[in-house]
Amino acid sequence: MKNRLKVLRAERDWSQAELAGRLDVSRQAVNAIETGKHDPSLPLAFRIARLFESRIEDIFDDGDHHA
Amino acid sequence: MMETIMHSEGQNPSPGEARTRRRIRKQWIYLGLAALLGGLLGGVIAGSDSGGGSLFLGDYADLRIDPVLALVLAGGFLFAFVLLPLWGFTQIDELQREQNLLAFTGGCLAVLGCFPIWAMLHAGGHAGPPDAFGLYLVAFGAMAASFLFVKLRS
Repeated sequence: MKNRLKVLRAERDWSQAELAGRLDVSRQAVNAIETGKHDPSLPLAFRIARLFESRIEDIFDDGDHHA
Repeated sequence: MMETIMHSEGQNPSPGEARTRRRIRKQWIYLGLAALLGGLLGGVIAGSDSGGGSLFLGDYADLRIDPVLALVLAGGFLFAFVLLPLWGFTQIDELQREQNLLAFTGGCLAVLGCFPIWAMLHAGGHAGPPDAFGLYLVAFGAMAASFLFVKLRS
């Protein structure tokens, strides 16, 4: 799943480790989400959205624009 | 690659980085504790076996250990191989949990498939009879290989 996590993180000048700590996940998890290799669970997606004060669909794009 | 390195290596890491460092430290403590426990159990078995067997070479039939010590060791293995990993599952994040579950799936599938395959090979005279220790090694090996495969992909 495509996402804007890397962009949002860069805007705040956060390292992956910094974001990982704020989300209470491993740095590897942040990297896997950013590179699209891991889709976060719904609770984690909500945590990410709250952290960046955005909506989930503003951060993640599942490619389905017909819904 | 630079992004994989923490920003502040100085004395005052930011809150998120400090928390990540604590997580990494905790993980190493867990691994160290597991290795220490494994070494301790192995050392006690090696030191207290009065028979000619060896648990680690599959010759467990000839192991002879004091009955009380054997119970203590069984409890140690229960802690090391069941309780500690179960607790570990509560300490890792969802990606690591997914990777671990896939590794366990690999180990489980290997045993489910290996036993009948081995039995058929034995029936045809191509191999010895299925053996508990051999199946244990297959499970362990498949689990480790699955874990490495999943880790390398993510």
